[in-house]
Amino acid sequence: MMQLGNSTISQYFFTSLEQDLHIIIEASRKGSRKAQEQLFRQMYAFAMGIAMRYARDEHDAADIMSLAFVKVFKSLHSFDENKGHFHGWLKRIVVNEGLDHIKQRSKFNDSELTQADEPVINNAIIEAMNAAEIMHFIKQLPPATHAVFVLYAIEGYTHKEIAQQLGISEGTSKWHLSEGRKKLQNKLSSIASI
Amino acid sequence: MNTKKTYEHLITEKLETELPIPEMADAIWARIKVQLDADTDVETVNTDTVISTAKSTTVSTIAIVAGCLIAVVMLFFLIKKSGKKKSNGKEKDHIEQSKKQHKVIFNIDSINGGGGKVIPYPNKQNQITPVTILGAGENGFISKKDSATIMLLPLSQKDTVLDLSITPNKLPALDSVKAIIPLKKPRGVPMGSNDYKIQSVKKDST
Repeated sequence: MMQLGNSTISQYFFTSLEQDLHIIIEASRKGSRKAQEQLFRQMYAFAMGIAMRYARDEHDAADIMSLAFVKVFKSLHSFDENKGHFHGWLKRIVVNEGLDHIKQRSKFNDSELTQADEPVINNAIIEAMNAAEIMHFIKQLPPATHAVFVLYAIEGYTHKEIAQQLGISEGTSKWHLSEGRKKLQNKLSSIASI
Repeated sequence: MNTKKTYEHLITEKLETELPIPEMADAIWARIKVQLDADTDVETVNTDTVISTAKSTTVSTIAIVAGCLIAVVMLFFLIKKSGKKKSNGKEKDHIEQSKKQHKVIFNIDSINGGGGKVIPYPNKQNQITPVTILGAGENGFISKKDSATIMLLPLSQKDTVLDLSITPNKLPALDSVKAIIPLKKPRGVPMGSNDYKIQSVKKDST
């Protein structure tokens, strides 16, 4: 009897999940409310984790989620599986909705970064903290700085992409990132000193 | 290019794996469902409106076309009717004119009911069309004897015509019948009864 390795098993399950997701997406496209609910529940943790990064609290995250998923179901026909994974497509929609949410709360100033000092943050402090604590500090940043920091430091976007998404210059994006890093360093340093 | 710091990689890793997700799936789905249902209703209403607008447009187009057709048909009949009236008027005028010119009336009874034979025109049975009446007497009246010789002949331009369309079974009143009867010119030497008498020559007895 042939024995299956761990990688083979995980690959099998991944393929199986993708196939299931494909079936649910197809049914959701046709307007099946049950399939849409199934898709929402299947993607809830993934999408809520992204929404939480841009929200001040759970209620904000719920607003972002509901608006994002309505958009998902309305524009599901435009999703092309050949161009990328559903997770990436969904993430982009949730991030855009999160950014719209932040934009409603604040304006991005026109300050541009010319030169910035590199903040020094001890990795040990980060490792000692849990995700909720880290998120708590990030949420204390000004909304615009919060958005740029999350986009750059967590989502991995470039300044050019951030500038395009937020309608600001790359210099302004750099300035917000620098501001975010400095403020985070100050807060984490204060915790470390305690 | 994105140049993440080491601590930022750590933050990302922690947020992706350890961030607690609040259990709000039911509440959020309820909101999404309400929004989707509302949008579906609006779309349905819009579709219905479009369909009803299209239907009403079609109905109104059909109504307009039908109206036009009815109007055209009515106009056609009106024109036809007025044409008939005009022709009837012309006939009447013509009859009146004939009446004035000739002032001759003949007894139509002699044609139909007086034992005479009416020979209809072959193509138009039961209808007397313009005719030439032959065999009229010297006085202009057709006698019963003469009526037997009446022929209904096709109209020619040279003939004196009687413009009447009458059905033999339902002949109009006598007064309404007008005719132009050609007077037969007397031919030859006029002869009296005296001309046929054989006068016996008296023999001289002496």
